[in-house]
Amino acid sequence: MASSLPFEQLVGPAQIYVAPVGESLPNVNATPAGNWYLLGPTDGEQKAKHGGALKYFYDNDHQGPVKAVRPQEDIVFTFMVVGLSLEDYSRVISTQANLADATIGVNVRTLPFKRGATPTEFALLFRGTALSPYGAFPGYYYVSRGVFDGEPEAAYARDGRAGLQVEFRPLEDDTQTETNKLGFLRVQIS
Amino acid sequence: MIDALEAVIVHLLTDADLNVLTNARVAAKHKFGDGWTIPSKAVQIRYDGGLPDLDVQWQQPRLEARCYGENQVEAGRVYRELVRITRNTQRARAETGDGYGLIYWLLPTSGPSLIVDPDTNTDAVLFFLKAAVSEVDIP
Repeated sequence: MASSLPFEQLVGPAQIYVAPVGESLPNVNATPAGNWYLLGPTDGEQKAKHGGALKYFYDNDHQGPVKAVRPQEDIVFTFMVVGLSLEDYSRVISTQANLADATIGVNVRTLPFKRGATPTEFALLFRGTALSPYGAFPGYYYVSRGVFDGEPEAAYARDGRAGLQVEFRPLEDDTQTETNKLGFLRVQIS
Repeated sequence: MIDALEAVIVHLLTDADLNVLTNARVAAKHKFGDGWTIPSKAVQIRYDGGLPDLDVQWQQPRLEARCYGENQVEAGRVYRELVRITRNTQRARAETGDGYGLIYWLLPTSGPSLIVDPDTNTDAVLFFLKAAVSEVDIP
């Protein structure tokens, strides 16, 4: 049994950072800084789903499929944001540009709900301190361009905590190389 | 095969703040009356069941932790240091007699119970943890 096997079992949650599209990508072992904004904390499972069901083609000469193509693909990140500062809240509904402070009797911060037809695009880092299968190293999923979706719903209750269940969906980024247009996973190996 | 309890105790002993607070009194079996002063701050970690994993080469023992202190408040300080250590999200490497073990997680599974420990007749906080430790040693 290879002695490196234990590290291949990945455990532990990730921290989620968002930034304006075009923000430079930090090194994998560096804490994101600059315009990278730490979204959260989050609660529960965080998922990275590789979407894109195959379409199979059959013909009369075979019983099984003879060809498969992937007409669409994406990778969807799902997580529950429970840090509900208005800075966090506004990002997951993409209205952070409209967040405003004022004095209306008392000092207030106002989060407008109207989001408009075109959602704000973000870059996403889904960074785990223990995301490397090669040692006690960090790693991250990076999406250079994407949007928040998932119709998040804040449920307030007497015995529970409100959270916003969101999805982050990448958009093709033509500034990236062909294979990286929907983002990539990068981990430290030594 | 790695001794999971040893790995967890070594992991706790490598934490500087817990080490200072307890003066390195962290063991699988307390040594009050045998080198440890009564009362003083200390931690005892024991195996307390759990479920075996039949498929993956890791151990997931349930652990019982007793956090001793000179009084309830001091025992609570030791408890809180342990809780802080459980917040770590990086996997940890711990040197044992059978090689380096990899601790995937060390998490509390209960809240604290304030008790008077019958062995020492001093205050202690009792709570339970779960750990996941590799069976295979790592470099």
